[in-house]
Amino acid sequence: MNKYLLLLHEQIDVIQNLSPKEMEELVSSHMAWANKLESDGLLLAGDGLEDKGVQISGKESIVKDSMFLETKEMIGGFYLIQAGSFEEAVEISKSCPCHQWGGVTEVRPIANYASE
Amino acid sequence: MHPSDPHFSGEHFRVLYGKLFAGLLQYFGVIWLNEIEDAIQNSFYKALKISQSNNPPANFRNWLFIVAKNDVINQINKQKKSLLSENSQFTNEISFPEEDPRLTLLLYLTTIKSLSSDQLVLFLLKNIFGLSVKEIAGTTLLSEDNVYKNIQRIKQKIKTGFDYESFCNNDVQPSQNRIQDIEEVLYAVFNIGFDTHNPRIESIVNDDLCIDAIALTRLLFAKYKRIETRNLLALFCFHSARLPSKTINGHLVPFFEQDKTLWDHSLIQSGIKYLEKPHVLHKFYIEAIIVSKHMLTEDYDKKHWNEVISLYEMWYRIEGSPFILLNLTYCYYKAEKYAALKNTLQNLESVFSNDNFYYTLLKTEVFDEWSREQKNGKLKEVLRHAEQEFRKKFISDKIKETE
Repeated sequence: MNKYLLLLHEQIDVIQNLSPKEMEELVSSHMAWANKLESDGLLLAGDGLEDKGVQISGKESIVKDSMFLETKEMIGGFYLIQAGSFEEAVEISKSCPCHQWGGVTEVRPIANYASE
Repeated sequence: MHPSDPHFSGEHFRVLYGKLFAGLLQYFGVIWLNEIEDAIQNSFYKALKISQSNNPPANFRNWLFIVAKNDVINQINKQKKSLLSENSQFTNEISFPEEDPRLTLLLYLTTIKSLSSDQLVLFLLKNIFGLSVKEIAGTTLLSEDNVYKNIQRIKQKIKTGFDYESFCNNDVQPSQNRIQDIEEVLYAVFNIGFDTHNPRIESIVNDDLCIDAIALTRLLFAKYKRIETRNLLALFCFHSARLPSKTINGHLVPFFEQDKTLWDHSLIQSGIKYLEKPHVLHKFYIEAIIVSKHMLTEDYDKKHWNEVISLYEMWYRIEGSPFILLNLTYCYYKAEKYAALKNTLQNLESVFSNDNFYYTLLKTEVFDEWSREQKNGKLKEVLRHAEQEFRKKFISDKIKETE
């Protein structure tokens, strides 16, 4: 099994303006999805990410507020899953609930050159 | 696990929204109304974040309350107002109120006399029943812009007319008039839910609103034991009992064509238990009696229709609403009282437009002076304005009958 990081890119303005009912549906879907991944033995970790954050760059290690504070999109959370292949990981990720409200799931394989 | 799962919270987010709003308003005061709304929205957003970890907090609603409360405090601090130092109670450790705070808020909102009952209903739909502006627009047939602007105006009125000390003093015994106002508001909300025109809801019923209206009416009755509230509950029970048969396979089924075996008979029994004759005749009692007669009679004969006509006429004398006349017209038709039927239809002509769903459907059924072509044209006009699929199907079937 290989590991894959699913980065959830969310539309901040859409998510923050959901009605309580819509938000409940989204929360419920994430919980059900995480439960399913776990019961199928695929979920290794998962969490939401805070909106605030910083970016550090340059030799001087300059600290700046994260870019997403100025954009409409940000990485709102992640799942770390395991799957037999990249194609399988993509197939699993198609049902990620973040797509319900304009979100995008980015699937990134965890580098594992030793097994190649 | 579902968020409404008892282990998680046992309540839907909409219900939690209303309880959090009422509880936080009681805690912070109406001056922070906008901050409270933002804080609740933020707390739901944070719930989304923790849902991805598949590790929800043990006491979810208390967690939400604390998160929202801290959010309000943070917002107040950011605004650098001195209120925190003046009101040290904001730093107290508090948890989610044991008693449902929504009823208390309802009671006090009815004391703001500058609020019309329509405005009160709009505000409650948003802040007690947890609907978004978009959802309210769909449910009330107002435009989103209109709802938004109205709610801003209402908030301003509440801010200026709200007596925080009275609101916090739970011992105050409300007047009968104020309880009556709440009954009216709950009746309006239930009716909005029972016959929704929201195009996003493919059912004639918005169950959420009906269930919440019933829950709050039960609370109101438990607290003040008014016969009127009791009869309102009876009415809600009779109406709710028919919910399983109102639409079948996406098709709207009119009352008299519904499959009675699908009705919830335990709710009918509850309705009968709640029903009690008031000292002074009241519309909730009369309406509940009419509905129960329709639901319990064996024969829809002339005797039945004449009894119902007497009840509607009694109700019309109390309330004088054109919607009562609409129902009365149908009863005249069934009782073959054609002169009264024609007379009432003429009176309704100036009230309802020809694209009104119920008025036009009624008229095409009972008005014999319209030709098939005229009926066909009127129904097509209604179809043009219908948004929900099941309503379109229902009208289309009626159009076919006129072709």
